Amino acid sequence: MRSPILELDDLQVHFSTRSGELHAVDGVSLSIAPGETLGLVGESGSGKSVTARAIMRLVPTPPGRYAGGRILFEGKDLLTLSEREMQAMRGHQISMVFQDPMTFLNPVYTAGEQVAEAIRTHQGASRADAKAQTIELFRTVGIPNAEARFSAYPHELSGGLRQRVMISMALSSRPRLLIADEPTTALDVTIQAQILDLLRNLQQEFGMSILLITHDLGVVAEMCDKVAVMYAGRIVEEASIEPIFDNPGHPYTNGLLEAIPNASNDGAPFRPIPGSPPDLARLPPGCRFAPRCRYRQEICISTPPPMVQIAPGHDALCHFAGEYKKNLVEVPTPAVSR
Amino acid sequence: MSAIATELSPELEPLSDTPSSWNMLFWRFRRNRKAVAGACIIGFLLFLMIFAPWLAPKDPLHGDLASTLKAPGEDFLLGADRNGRDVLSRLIWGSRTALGGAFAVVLISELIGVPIGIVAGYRGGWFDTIISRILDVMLAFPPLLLSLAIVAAFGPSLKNVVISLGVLYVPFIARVVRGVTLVQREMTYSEAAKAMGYPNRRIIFRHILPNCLGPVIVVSTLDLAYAMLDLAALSFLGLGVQPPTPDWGAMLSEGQGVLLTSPHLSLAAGFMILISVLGFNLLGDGLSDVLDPRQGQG
Amino acid sequence: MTRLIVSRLATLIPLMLIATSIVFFLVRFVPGDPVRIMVGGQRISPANVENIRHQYRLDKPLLAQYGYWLNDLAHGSLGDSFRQRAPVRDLVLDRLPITLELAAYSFLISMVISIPLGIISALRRNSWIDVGASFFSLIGASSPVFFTSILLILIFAYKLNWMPALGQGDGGWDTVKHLTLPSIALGLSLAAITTRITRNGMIEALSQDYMVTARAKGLSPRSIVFKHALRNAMVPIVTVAGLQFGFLLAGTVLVEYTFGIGGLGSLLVDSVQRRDYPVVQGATVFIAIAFIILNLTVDILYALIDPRVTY
Repeated sequence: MRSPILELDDLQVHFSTRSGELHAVDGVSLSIAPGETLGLVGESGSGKSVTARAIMRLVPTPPGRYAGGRILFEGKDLLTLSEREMQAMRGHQISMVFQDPMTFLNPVYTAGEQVAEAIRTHQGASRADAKAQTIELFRTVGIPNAEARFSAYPHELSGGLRQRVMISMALSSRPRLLIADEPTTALDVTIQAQILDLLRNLQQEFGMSILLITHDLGVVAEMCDKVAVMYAGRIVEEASIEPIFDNPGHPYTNGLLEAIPNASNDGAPFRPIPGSPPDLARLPPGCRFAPRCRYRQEICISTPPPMVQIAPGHDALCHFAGEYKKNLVEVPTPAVSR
Repeated sequence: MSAIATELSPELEPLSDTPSSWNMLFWRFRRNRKAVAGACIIGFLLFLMIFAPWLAPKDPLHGDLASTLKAPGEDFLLGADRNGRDVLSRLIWGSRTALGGAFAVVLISELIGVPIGIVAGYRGGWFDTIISRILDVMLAFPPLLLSLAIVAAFGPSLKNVVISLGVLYVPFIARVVRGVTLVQREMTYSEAAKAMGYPNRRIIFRHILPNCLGPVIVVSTLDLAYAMLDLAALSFLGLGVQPPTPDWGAMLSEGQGVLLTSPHLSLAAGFMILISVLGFNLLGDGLSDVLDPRQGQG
Repeated sequence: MTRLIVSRLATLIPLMLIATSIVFFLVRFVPGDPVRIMVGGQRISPANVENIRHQYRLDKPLLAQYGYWLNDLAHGSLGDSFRQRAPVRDLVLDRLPITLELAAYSFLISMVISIPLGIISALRRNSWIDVGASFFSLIGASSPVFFTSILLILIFAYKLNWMPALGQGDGGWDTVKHLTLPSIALGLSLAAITTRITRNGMIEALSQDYMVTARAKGLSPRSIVFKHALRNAMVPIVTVAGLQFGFLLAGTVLVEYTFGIGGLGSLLVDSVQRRDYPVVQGATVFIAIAFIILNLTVDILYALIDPRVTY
C-alpha cells in the first residue's frame, strides 16, 4: 500500500466547559491514501466536524485543546508545526469546503475577490494574475458567466453557485487533501448531485484525496472508497465501502443503514435509532452505544469494547463485532436514556 | 463545536405577569452588578434631594464676603464659592434642580410620547406615516441645539429648558412605544381579543400598555442620563437654571473663572454630574439586560 | 450610487425645509417687541423704531416674512444681525472654518482611540484591557464634555503646562496646538460610544462562519482581523458615527464655549444670550444643513461598505 497522505494517530481533542472536560475527539485513528476518498460518518455531535477542523488546526483554543495523538500529513506531524507554518499549509496543501456557503462566504467581498485572495496568499500572484486564475477556476468548477460572476457578491448568487465558489477557493492552490464538511447538506437535492459529480470529476483532474464528512450514507455510497463511522468521539467502525453496506460490523452502523428509508433492499423496515448520542460529560462506563443498542449484553454495559478485526481492513469497536445479530433475544424496548 | 453547544444556556423564560416572574425579575436585577450599582447611586441622589434641607450644613444662598473662595477646611468642608457660599450645601441642594429637572423632562416626554406612540402604532395608516415622519425629523437634530433656539425665543430659565427638552425628548419614547404597539397589535391574542368584540380601550390597557412597560422603563432611564447632561450643559451655558439657585452645571461654569486658584469648585460640581449620569447609565444598561435576557448575554 | 444620492436628497430637502421653518416660527413667537430687544435699553424715537421695523421687514405679516425668509434663503442670504451690523451669512461663514477644524480633529481623535481599543477588547475578551475599555466607555459616556474639558485644562494646561488652556491660536501649528485639548475632550466623549460599538461589532464578526473560511484559506491573523472582521464591523461603526454627528455638533458648542474658541457654536450661544434672533436662526439653519450633508455622506459610505444595502 502507498504511504498515506493523511494519518490520524490516536487524536485527542478536548474542550473545557463548565460541565468539565469534554473529549469531543477521543482517540481517533484513521488514514487516507493519495487519491482516495474517505467518508467520515456520524450523527451531529459525534465529533466528526471537530475532527475535520482539528486536521486544519482550526479548533479554537481555548476552549479546545489538542490533548494528544498525532496528525501526520505526508509523514509530518501538523501538531508540531508553528502557527505560521500551519498557515502556509491551510488552503494550500490542505483545503476545506464547508456546509453552508452562504454563511461561510464573507458578505462584504465579491466571490471573485475571496478566491483571488487565496491565490495571492499562497502563490504570491499579482492582482491581475490572481483574477485571471480565479476566472479560469470558476470555469473549471462550472460557474457560467465566470467573468461577470467574479464581481458578484455572495448574496447575489444561488446556493449551488456559492458552493462552487467555495470549491474553487479550496482548489485554487491544487491541494493534496480536500476536507469537505457536509458540502451538500445545505443544498437542494438536485444541486447536491451536481456538486457531488463536480467533486468526483475534480478529484480525478487534480489527483487529490478527499475526506468527506457527512451524516448521509447515500452520499458515502456514491463518493467514497472507505468509510469510518464515528460515535461519541470515537471511530466505531472502519472498512472499505462494500462490507460496510453488505455486512456492517457495528450495531451503530447497522442502525444508521436501517434508518435510511429504502436504503437496504432486503425489505427490512425503516427503523430510526432510538435515543440520542450520549452527553460527552456523562459517558456510560462500557460501550458508548450500549444504551441505544438493540443487541447489548451485560458486558456491553460494564466493559468498554476492544477494536475487533472482522476481516483485513474491516474493524469494529464492539464486543460482538460482526456477530451481534446472534444476540438478538430482542430487548423489547431499549432502555433509552434521554 | 457540538461539544460547546451542549452547554445549557441560562434561564430564558418569557415574561408574564405572574408573581413568580416578578420574583424572577427581582432576582435577575439583584444579580446584575450594573443595575445594582446604578440603583445605589440613584438612591443616594434621591436621598440628597429629599433631605437636602436637613443634610446641608449651611444656607446654600447666603454667603458672607469674608469667606470668599475659602479653601476646603473645617468650617467649609468643600470650601466656599466666589460669593462666600458653602459649596457642599450648594452641591446638596443642586441635586434638586438636576434630578428634579431630569425627571420633569422625562415625565413630559412620556406624557406626550406614550399616547402618540400608541395611537400611531395602533391606528397605522396615514396618521402613523405623518407622525413617524415628524418624529424622524425631530430625531435628526440634537435636542441640545434645538433647545438653544427655543431658549433664545422664550428666555433662559429652568422651566423653559425643561419644557423644551421634554418636548424634544418625545421622539425617543414615542418611537419605542410605537414599535411595541405595532408588534403587539399583530400578535394573535390581540387579534383574538378584537374578534371577541373587546373595545380598543381594553386591548390597549390590557395588552399593549403592559408590554410597553419594560421598554419604556429602559428608555426613560437612559433618557434621564441624557436629560441630566443636556440640563447641565444648558445651565453651564448660562441658559438654564439662573443664579442664585444652586445647580451643578452653573456651579461648574462659575468655578471655571477661578479654575487656577480654586479648582475644587468646578471639580466638585462636575463630579456630581458625572456620578449621577453614570448612575442612570448603569441602571439603564442593567435594566435592559434584566428585562431582555436574550440581549444581555455575552 | 447616483440614484441613492438623488433619492436621499429628495427626502432631505423637505426635512431641511421643516427644520428651518421650525426655527423661523419659533423665533417669531418671542414675547416682546424685537425692536425693543434689539436696541437694548437705549432711548429711541418712534420714527426710528418704525424705520428699523421696516428695515428688518417686521412690519409685514408673518406669512409674508416667512416668504421673504425662504426667498432669501434660496438666494443664499440669511438676513442681517440685530446686534452686529453685518449679514448673518458673513458672520457664520467667518466662524465656520474653526468649528469644522475642531469637529474634524475631534472625530479623528475619537477614531484613533476607539477603533484600536475596540478591536483589542474584542480580540482579548475579559482581559484587563477589555475591562478597562468598558470602564472607559461608561465614564466617557457619562462625563459631560465640558467637565472633561475642565479636567484636561487643569491637568495639561495648568499642571503640566503642555498645552494652552484657552483660545484658538493664530493659524497653522498654533491653532493645532490650541485645538488639541478641546478636540481630545470632545473626542473622548465620542470614543466612549464608538469603542463599545467597535468591540461588539468585532465580536459579532469574529464569531461568524466566514471567519473559519478565512482561517482555512491560510490567511494571516492580520488580514483575518483587519480585512475580514473589521470590514464587517464597520457597518455598525458607520451607522453609529452617523448618529454621532448630532452629538458632535452639540459638543462643539459646549467645547467652544469652554475653551473660548470663536466658532459657530460660541456665535450661537452668544447670540442666544444677546437675543440676536437672525443670527440664532441663521446659525441653526447652517448647522442643520451641515448635519444633513453629513448624514448623506454616511448613507453613501454605508452603501459602499455593505453591498447588501439596497436602495
